[in-house]
Amino acid sequence: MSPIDCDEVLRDLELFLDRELPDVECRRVEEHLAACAPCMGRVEFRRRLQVIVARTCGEESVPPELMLRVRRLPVERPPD
Amino acid sequence: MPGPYPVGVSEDAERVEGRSGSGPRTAPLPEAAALGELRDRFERDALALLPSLYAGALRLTRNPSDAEDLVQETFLRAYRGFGGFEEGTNLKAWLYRILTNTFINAYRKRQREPATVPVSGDETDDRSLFDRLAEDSLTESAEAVVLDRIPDEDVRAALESLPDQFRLAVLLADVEGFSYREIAEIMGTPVGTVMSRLHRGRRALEKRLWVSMRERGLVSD
Repeated sequence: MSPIDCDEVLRDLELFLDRELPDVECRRVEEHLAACAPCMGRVEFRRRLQVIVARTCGEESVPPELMLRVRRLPVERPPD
Repeated sequence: MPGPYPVGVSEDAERVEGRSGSGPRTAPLPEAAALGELRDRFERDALALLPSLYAGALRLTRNPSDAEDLVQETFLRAYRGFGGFEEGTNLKAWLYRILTNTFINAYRKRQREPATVPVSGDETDDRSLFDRLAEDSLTESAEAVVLDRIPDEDVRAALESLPDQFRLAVLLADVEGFSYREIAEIMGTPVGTVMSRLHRGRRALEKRLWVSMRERGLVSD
């Protein structure tokens, strides 16, 4: 398996970070990252940004009235 | 006003009574009992996902009142369509699909879209936030550090500034952690479309963050 260069890592970066890259290619990216500080910096930056987006945009306390409204919705029987 | 029972107990009792009253007159078959059990579990598991769905609804509708209506409509449809939910499949993805469809059908039709960042206009400048920061006068180690200085409201505003389809893709991937295949099913689009919307949506989000960082003086002009 030949090593990959920074351009290839950059091309596959989004797939790699989204865990959508096939295992074999994933390992090649990981090997490259272990030896390339600039690419690793890019990956860590993107991961950090994603954590920030998930934290700030994904956490909201549910208004108590909404919780009540949803709990009181009629629950119908599934079709027989 | 406190009743004779703790509230949770009396509500549960009501639900059980209502169910047996509206059920078939014949003795419940074991199959029906299993369905009842499945429904109870569905109800409990679906309610546990309410905070996630409410946050998603807020990002999509951009205001609490519409978000509450969207969530209520989503759960109503989910309960009605519960017979079509296959046990063992991803409940969260199923609920998000209902939320997404309800949003697109009900809210987009109203054409109340506020001014959004035109994603197509961004294509000429496709630099990532990382590259923008690297080209700034900051030292290399500060690129990640400066991210932590962005106020939460700027991050939410950046996501909410994206056009619907891009906002949805970024929300489903980066906030909810769905796979491309799951997002494709939720949005009813091919995986390739999901990837393209995600890429463009993320770049637009990063550009918006860059603008707000400059406005706040976190980076130099």
